[in-house]
Amino acid sequence: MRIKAAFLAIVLFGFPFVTYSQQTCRADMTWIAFVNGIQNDIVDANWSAIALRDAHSSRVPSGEPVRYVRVHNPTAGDGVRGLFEDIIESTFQSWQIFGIRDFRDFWMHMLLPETGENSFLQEAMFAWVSSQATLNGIGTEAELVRQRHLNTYRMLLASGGGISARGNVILVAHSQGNFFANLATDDATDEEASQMRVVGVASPDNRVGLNGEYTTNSDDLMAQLFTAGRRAIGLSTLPPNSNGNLTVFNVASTTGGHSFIDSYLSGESDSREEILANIEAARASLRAGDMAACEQSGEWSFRLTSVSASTATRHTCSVGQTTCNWISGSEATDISALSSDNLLAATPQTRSAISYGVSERGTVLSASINSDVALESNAINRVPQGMTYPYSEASVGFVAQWELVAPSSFQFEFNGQSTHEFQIEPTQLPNTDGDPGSRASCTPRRLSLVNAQNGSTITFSSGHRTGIIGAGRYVARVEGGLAEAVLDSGRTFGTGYPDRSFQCSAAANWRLEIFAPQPP
Amino acid sequence: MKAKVQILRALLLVCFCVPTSKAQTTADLQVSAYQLVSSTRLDRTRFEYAYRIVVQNTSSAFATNAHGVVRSVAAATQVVDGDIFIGDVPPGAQRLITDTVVVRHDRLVPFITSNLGWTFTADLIQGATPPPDPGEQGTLTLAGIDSNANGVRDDVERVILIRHPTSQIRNALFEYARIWQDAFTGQQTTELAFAHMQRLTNSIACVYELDRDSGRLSLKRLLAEQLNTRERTYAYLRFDTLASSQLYTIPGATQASSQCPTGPF
Repeated sequence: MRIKAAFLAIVLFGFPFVTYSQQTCRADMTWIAFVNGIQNDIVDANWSAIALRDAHSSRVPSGEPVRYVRVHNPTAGDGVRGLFEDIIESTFQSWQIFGIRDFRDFWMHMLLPETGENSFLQEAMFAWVSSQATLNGIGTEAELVRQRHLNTYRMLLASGGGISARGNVILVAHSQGNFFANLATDDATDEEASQMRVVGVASPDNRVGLNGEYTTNSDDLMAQLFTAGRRAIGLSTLPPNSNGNLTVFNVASTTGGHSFIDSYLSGESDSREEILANIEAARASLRAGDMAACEQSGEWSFRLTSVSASTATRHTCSVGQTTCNWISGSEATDISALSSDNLLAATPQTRSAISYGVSERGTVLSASINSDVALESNAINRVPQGMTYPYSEASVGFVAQWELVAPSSFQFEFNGQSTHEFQIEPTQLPNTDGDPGSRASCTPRRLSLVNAQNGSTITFSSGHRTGIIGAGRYVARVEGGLAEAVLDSGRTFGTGYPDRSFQCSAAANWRLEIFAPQPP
Repeated sequence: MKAKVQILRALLLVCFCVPTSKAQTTADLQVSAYQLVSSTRLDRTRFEYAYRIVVQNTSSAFATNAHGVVRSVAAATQVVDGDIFIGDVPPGAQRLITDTVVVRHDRLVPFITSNLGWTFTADLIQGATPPPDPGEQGTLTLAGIDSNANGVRDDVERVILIRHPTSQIRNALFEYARIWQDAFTGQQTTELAFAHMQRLTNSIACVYELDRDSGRLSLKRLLAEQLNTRERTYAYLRFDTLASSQLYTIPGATQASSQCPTGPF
């Protein structure tokens, strides 16, 4: 059936990333994540991660995408905060014997060992807390903590910025941070593990997650304390494997030669070079895995097949353009704001929502997808490999859009494997979504992102976006199928708009997107 | 718990150091006048006098936490109590000090005030007027006192101004202090803790770029000032826990520098 002047936008936006990641080159981003130990106060935890970035970044060739993050472990450790508080309270009287008059003095002593201002108090206090944590693994909330850490690492794995939407992750764990890193990576899937490495520093554990390398100085007194404590209960620790070459002054004025910044990363220590070399070895190992994946997948190809006959004129949303908006979960986010920085700086809810969708950012396979060819039956677009838009341009994967004059079915393939089939019903859908920024460009509207079981009902809500709904039918594309809903015209499209429900009719892992169409 | 406490106390027994504080500097203060408060006759020729002094700040710096010590160069004049607390003296200003200096003088010779030599020390603040010292009042609530409503507790603000004469690092530390204040005094939730911690990370990265040698020390000293009560300490521990297991971006050097606040605050 031919429908005059009928247009329908097909927006190839955010195809299922799972399929990509299984068969293509993987990471376009290597995340180096510092996992602090519980001896670290918040200043030191941050300073350590910054110092690591400072020390390591000069070794990364220009143009290689490496980003630095940190995973925070609290001062007193998960599960042992109560103990820390007990110690503060129960020993308050004792402080005064040593001239510690108040909490300010207490913290001055605790936080400033490097000044020689009673570093032993900090050592003693933390040694006690640490020994409790060490003896208990990572405290009484171990399961909860390991799961939280793994979820955090998974967020990085899913933030590669490439078409594969995957990142490589190198965990640089210091002290008790090794427990968290090791336990979390135990639970990683094989595929996840293949994209992760652990570099241990001053580890109190008896292993390194994912068989990684580690560095423990022979003059790390705190590590020796851990070893003694664990040995007393029949547990072992990794032996020192580095001559720290620390001066007596360094050991005495820091937390017993255990400090990541002052001892392990200090210029006078052998361990600095060894840690950086271990990180580089981990990066090389991960790159080798990426190369193998690339070679296995061969030349990337993109195939969009018109299953039924149709004619079409091309309408392509520019690749990397940043005017497309989306709404995910309860958060409205401009794609231009979806740089990796903003992604990580977003609130947890936003990140949680975005974590489903981060795969849709990053590498653009082709700066211009030739839809004239693509719309021919069985035509294949050869696209150059590795054309990557940097994060700063907030590329959104690839976005292509066609205006059709006939109904058609399409099949989307990647590397020869069909990943998606969808059907288009042309209809006139005026774009009156109230967003002038998107009016002249592609207008994908992700109103919600839902995982649901086959056959179940999924509901979207319009979230924060407001505007006036135009008359017509809006197409809801779901992963593996299509659903449609008619939205009322003239209604405020925002929080006041009633939720809409769709009946799922295909496989699980539904991803619902609503696309407001172009004006005719 | 008792055993734990005993072990910790044993560990504490070998602790011997005390925290140091920033040494005060000699201040450009001078006595512009003496006011006799009391006069007591001790014997036939000796009298004990209590004086208040008027102090003038002749420098361009704000003198705070100022002290004065007087010594006599005349044998007939003995200083009984010559150590006085002055407090704040703005640049160019004169202040009558309530604290008194007490001297004994043998009136067989004339009493000459120029025989009293003064040494003044103070914390000097360039280019800013600090809020008044809140004293104990500032420790009564979690939020403390922020008399100029700039988001930084007065006691913390004073420390920043005293310790850091340059505006660049001052601005950075004001921002850092403000984030802590936000983290402690507002609602403490996981979401807010995440946001505050990322702000802290950016702020610390800024200080790293401004002062790699002693910036960390400055941050930690300031944190100790922030945590000067039990209530604040517990707020810190809650915040620390709420922000845990989350991911924080470490900005690059250029980005960190560009994020440094420009102030003034």
